[in-house]
Amino acid sequence: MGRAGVLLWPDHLVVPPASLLEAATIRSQQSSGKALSAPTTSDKSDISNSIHIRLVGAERVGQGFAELFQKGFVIAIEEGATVREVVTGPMKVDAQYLDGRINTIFLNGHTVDNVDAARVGDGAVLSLSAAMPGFVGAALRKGGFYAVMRADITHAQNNQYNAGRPAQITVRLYNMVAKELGPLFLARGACFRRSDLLEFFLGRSEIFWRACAQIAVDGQEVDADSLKAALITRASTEPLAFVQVMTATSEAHAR
Amino acid sequence: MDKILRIDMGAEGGPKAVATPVGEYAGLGGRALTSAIVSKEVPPLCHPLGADNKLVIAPGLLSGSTAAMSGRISVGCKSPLTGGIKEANAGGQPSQVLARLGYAAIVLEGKPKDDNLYKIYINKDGVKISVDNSLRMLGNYDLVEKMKAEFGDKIACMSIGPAGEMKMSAASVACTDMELRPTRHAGRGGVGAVMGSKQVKAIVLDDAGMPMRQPKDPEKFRDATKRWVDGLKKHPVTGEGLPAYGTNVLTNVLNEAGAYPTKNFTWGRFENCNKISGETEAAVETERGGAATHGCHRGCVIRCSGIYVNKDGQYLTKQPEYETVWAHGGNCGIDDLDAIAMLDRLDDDYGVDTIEMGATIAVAMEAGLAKFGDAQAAINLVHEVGKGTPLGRILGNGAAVTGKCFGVERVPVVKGQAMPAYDPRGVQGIGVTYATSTMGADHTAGYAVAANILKVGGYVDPHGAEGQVALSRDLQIATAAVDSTGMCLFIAFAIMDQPETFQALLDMINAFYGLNLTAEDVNNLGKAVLKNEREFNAKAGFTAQHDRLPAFFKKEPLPPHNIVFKVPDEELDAVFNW
Repeated sequence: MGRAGVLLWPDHLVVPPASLLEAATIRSQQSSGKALSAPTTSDKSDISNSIHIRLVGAERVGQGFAELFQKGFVIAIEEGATVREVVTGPMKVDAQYLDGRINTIFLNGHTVDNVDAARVGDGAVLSLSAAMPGFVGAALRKGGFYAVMRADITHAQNNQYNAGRPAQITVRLYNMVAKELGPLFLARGACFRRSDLLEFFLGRSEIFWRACAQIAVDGQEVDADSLKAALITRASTEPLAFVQVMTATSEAHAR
Repeated sequence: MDKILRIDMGAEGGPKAVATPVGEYAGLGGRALTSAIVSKEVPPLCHPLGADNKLVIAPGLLSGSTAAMSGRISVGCKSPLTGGIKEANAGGQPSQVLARLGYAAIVLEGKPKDDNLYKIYINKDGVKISVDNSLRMLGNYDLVEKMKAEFGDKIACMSIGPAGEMKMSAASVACTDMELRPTRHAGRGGVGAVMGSKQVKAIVLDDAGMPMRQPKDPEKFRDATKRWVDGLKKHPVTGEGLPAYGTNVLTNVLNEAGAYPTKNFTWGRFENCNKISGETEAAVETERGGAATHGCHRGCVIRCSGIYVNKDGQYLTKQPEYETVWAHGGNCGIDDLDAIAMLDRLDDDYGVDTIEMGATIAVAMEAGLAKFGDAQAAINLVHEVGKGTPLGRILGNGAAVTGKCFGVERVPVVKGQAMPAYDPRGVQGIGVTYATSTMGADHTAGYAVAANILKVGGYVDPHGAEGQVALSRDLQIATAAVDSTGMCLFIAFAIMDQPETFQALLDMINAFYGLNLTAEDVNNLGKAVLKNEREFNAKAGFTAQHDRLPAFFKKEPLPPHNIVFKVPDEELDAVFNW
């Protein structure tokens, strides 16, 4: 099985948490200047039809996206890659972080105990969480002592995959993992489902919008209402939306 | 803490208080003490609301000292909800204050011969019991304001709301927090109804002039406390996850697991759970100027609570916990966090258990009294409880009674107590604990995940033939032991993963009392507590048939994984074979 690679997505979509992961391997960098322009990428063929949104603002703008990471964002992988290959490959998260920090993993709603054995197929949902409280939280941990107590929902590798075929999956980030990795994915840009993004923006309060110093759609500076209108107008043709959020923290990560 | 305050509410000439030596109960605290007194002094076949039942209130072994996380208080009695023995515990300030006043326990006994309502004030000079019918049917918030006006703002209160006065089986005992708000509740099992049956509206504790409790070996205690706090702070659950998001951080992962009981346990996932998750809750609190990180008592270093404010930035309630958000949220199909926070506020004010109320409303929704997802209808139903209307009286007596009254088959209770926020079909191991716990369905009964560290009586192979039965047994033993220390159960994670932190806990207790407790002693304490409780329940009429989940868990596959509860009855019957 070949390692999952970034076939369809630009490098700036996936980033390691540089400041958080001491041993992170940053394999790509993208300019994070303050100019309001669509991100430059080496390969954005698969998102060329997507609306490009860029927000620049205070920390709370980025923090607000924690709610959206619960719904998930879309990445490209090679079908049949293991969870480890996906996380350390296209997502470019350091292996140490995966092994030490991401304690609870779900693949299509099944708890994953072995990240080197569980393989990911097209359309999968991969959810990443830190250690959880409670007895059940302990039972859900990957490879945990109490794993037997939830054996019926443990991931079993039954599916055969077309190894290496391009595939898309949804990645959900929860709790501390969203807090730590979220700003990095936002700094480099992430693809969200347009409907999720619209619902998210419609639910933002004035506090959020006041914290946005600049909003741009496809390189043009707009106001919040125009941003929402653009998402509504282009609903039928563009299921995904590419979002980049620059705050002081995310810029630091991006550097 | 060398005396027990016994208050005979039915004494000739009116209630009388006597402080007695702790005697045969020396060395016990928290659940160990409440269960020892109840099992020894309460007739198992008595009526829970009668004069023969006793309400026992006990701080933990280290309460009132500088030990971090030592602020849990246990409330025990024969439960009007389950008919068996009960220990419900809560955070807040009362445990620390009661311990500093020198009491190992307060025992409310007997029953007044009149119909007056009483308040009890306890300070360093003694105990004053007085009639105060002006408090009748006050909500806990207004009640505490009146106590504050009368006794000042340096007090701690334990009180009941209207539900307790009406002796409803879901009634709780409220404990005030650091801000003197009645937000911490000994919720489970109807302990508030027993306090109501004693006609005690409030116990006001005032430790002015009382010093912090001092350890026998201050040097060793200081050293152990430092290691203890360091261990809690460095652990990812107690040092990061819980402070950042509270217990509601569990919503997303339980939903992912397909074990998040939704719409009265008919589904294992709630579509809109992201709207009510801990991550969202913390973001809302922060954005509105509330607080996502806050302790429930002084000396808490985990600080898993928070302050929930409304859209105008005004205080509404403490940060609703995972169980509350689930019970009133996903379990009722409600995805409106503000409505859930309002339900939490009403539960606290009327004085009812949030788990029992949420489960009850879901059963009522299944019966057709309201539609799943209708937040306003849920709020209206809780108001019915507070007002004591005929419908409210039914709801206030819990899910089992409500299910019976409205002919609902799918009623998620064990021994009459509503199940918490983990579907036992998804996580079968917790079903073993739900079924066999002495307390009725209780997620905290098998919570202290320290069993593999204790390794007393042999190491349990989790993949062995006994599997989850053996694990549930050890978890229940460990939990009973932790409950007896008065420590917050959330310490369990740090002591599970970090043996040196578990040792620090033992060292703290030993340094404080001049003891030489070992892990085996702790294990034996847990066993002794469970033995007392099991014997009481047996005498109260419980048999193996009561250690079962409702039949629908074995018959109805739970989507999305479509699994049923599969642990055989004979394995459940083996849980307490040790």
